[in-house]
Amino acid sequence: MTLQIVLAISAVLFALGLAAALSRSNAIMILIGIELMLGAANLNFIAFWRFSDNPSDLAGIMFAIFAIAVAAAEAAVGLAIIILVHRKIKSVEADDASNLKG
Amino acid sequence: MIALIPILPLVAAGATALMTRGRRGPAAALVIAAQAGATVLSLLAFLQTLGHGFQREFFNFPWLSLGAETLSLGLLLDPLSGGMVMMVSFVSLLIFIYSVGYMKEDPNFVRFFCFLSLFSAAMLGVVLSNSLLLTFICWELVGLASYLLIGFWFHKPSAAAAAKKAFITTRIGDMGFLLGMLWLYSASGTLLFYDGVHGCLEVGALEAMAAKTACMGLAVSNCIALLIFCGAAGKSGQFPLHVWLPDAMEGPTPVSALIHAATMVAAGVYLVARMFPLFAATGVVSASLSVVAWIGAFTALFAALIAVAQTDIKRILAYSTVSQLGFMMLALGVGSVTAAMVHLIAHAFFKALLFLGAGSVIHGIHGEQDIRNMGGLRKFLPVTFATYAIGMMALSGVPFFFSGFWSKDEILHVAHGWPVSQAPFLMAVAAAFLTAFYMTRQMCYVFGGSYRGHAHPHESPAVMTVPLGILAAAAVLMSIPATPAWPWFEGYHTGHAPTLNFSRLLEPGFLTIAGLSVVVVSLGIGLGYLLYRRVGEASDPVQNLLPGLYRALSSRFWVDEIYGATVVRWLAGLGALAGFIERRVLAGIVALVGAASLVASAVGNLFDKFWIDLGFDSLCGGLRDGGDLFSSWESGRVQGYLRFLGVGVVLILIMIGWLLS
Amino acid sequence: MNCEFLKTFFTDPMKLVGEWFVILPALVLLLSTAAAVVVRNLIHAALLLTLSFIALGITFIALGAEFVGFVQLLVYVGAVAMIIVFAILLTRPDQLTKSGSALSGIGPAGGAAIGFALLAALLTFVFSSPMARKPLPASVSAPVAAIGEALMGDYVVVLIVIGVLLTAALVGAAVIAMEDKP
Repeated sequence: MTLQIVLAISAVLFALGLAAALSRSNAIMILIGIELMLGAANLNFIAFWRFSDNPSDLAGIMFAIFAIAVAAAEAAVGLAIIILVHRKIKSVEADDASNLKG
Repeated sequence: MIALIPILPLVAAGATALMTRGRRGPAAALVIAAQAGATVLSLLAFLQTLGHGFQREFFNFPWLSLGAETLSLGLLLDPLSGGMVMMVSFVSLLIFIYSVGYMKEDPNFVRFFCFLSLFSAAMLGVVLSNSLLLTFICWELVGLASYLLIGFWFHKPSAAAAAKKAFITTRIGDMGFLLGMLWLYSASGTLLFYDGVHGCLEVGALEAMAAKTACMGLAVSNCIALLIFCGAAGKSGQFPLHVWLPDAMEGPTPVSALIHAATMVAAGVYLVARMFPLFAATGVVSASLSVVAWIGAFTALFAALIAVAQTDIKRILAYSTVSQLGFMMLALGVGSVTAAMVHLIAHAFFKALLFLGAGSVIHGIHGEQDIRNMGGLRKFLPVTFATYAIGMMALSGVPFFFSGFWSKDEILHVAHGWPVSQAPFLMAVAAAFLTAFYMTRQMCYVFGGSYRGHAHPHESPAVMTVPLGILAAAAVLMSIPATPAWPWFEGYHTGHAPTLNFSRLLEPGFLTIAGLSVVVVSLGIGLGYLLYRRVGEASDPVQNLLPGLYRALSSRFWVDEIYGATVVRWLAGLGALAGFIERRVLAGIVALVGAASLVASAVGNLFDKFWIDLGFDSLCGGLRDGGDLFSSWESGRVQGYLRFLGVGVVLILIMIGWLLS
Repeated sequence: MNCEFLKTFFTDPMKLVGEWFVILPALVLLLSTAAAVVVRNLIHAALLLTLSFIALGITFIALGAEFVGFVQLLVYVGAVAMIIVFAILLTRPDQLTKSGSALSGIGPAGGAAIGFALLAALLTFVFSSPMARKPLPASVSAPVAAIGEALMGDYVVVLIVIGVLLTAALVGAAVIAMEDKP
């Protein structure tokens, strides 16, 4: 088993997340896509830590933990915004919320 | 094999959870079959513990390893858990069968059986656990199942509130349990009860914990034991955490019988019994055991007093349960695990009987629970009356043929022998008197006199009365192994073969206590009968004689109100204080900063107006034109931006690749 | 029950099933994620997403990062998946009316194309880099005690900032979603 396999898995996961964020119109699905991309990044952190020469350096682990915390905060605020937008314009389609259009 | 005992109901609960509402028959059949299987296995396990020279059996397995630390779980079979598991699975089985009749018309029948099965699994897990961690997990599951079942009729606001109250009140105790568990882990390095020689209830760990002093001269073992007792007190409704138990009667009656009379509330007593070596690590008169004894005795008396003035048939039984649990705690506190367990098991049978009887009464008169609107039901519900009377006599401690007499007597006996103080013994005697009194009062109200209600009473179907009969038989038969003449339980727990010796009944020490309790019980029943012989008038005789006392009792010594006025008020006050600090102090600082920046901006404004504006205006014109151009790119669509980002990332990657290669 | 098996399973899973212990959950992860991205029904997507979160957590554990794995399970499966389901339920009525237009302007093709382009670019890097061919070092683990010390030591400032961030996010989310006062 080499680092490549894990990195490839993470790349696929990231691409799936990106595709979800780009092609689904529902704002919740966009948020889910972003969560998936964050998960892929975490997988990379863990993989690099696991395959590093000095596993007692915990930077990779730490980064993953903090990324999870930030992702949780992001999900909470993001979904709150979606609910607020839904209440205002009765829709969760990202394209409908375009009041900032120039 | 004993692992299967809790797993069977758990699987049944999971399977029922997936069933649709309409599949009432299969759900009930599955749950009851799983419970029957668990009962048979429990019986086998129990028979195994009966064998001569039985050694405790356990098996442990690692559950979670975090670096160098490994947390293990395990199961344990010894006489303590063997007897208990038998009782729990058997009573549960009977109550499940009874529920088929009682809940027949409920639309959420399937959900009810799912919860019941979950409860049974968790409770059996508590009993069989060999690890405080597993106990805690199952303990919380039991609490969850209890919450779900109390709030089963969640559309009734009082039921929802009662469920919440039960959950939060027991949670306060569980906090202590959790802290005690963490401390125990740091002190002994394991949460397994028995593990060869390394378990936390084995000599080595106990001595180490008893030798260290934590604070105020208390040994570490005592501190941990007290914290764990907090959890036990919450679950077993000991003062001051008893308030949830009477409210929990909002749930369906089989639930009251199963959870709030027979099994779950006994979990606290069982936990203390299980952890008894820890409580007694510094000797049988340790500080922690004294606390247990005092709280137990106080609760026994306190709850019995309140029960005298309640008018809801189930609430009376609820306070009676609190009081009886106090008796068990008292027995543990004065150092007799056997007396507590005998009473626990005997009580489980007759209290389940009483609750199911009460359920049958409520079912028979269409949901009425106020005893003032009953009366004369002896004629309408003969089977219920006969079995209820047996339960009442067992609970009151009518001599010789009922288990309650012998088990309560044993507790009085050990309490009398407590070297520290005689007060708990006297409190227990008073509580025994009151028990006989309020049960007589209830019987007179419900079954005596003439019918005062409006609905047409009818006897319950056989699926309900048969479990009543079985439980009544058990309440009587349990008196055989509980008599001091054949101290079977004593022998079972200590591992000696019991001998039949009637002369033990004639020992002076025993005779005085037994005589005393006979006198007390006859006084209680006699006085109760005298006062309540002719109920049916508007007011209660005790209310007429002692109105002030009756008011205090019927409002339950205002404990709920005191909590409302203190704990809840304190929290609200704390919130208000925080709000005040926020508004006055912090807002002041913010205002100060704001004022300072206002001054600064005024200065800046002057500078702006006369110097910078000149050049700025022309710049702005250019910018505005540019802005118009760029704003046409802004579609206002988030995904459009995201798409540009994606393309940009790909381009950057390609560029880097090209640069590297 | 075979205690030896359980012990190995919990302490050194690699020994038991080799690299399949990483690859199997990773496969589940990718399949469930792909399904979550594709299905129309939002609730199904959320449930598949939960499955993929679980698989990701197990992958972490399999890679030896037990603590991160459990944090992942707790935070994502316990909290994030839950609030996603809540958000879906709270915004449900218009899903029923608008189920036809589940795709945005450029349609699935555009998003997928950008995704594939990125994937191709990433994979080129992954498979061309010599460093990525590194074999797996001997079993390592991150003891919770060391993580705790690092959190309270070297990373304490980050920890505090994250705490502030989470508090702000909590309060912010509550304020944002609060009903407007009449």
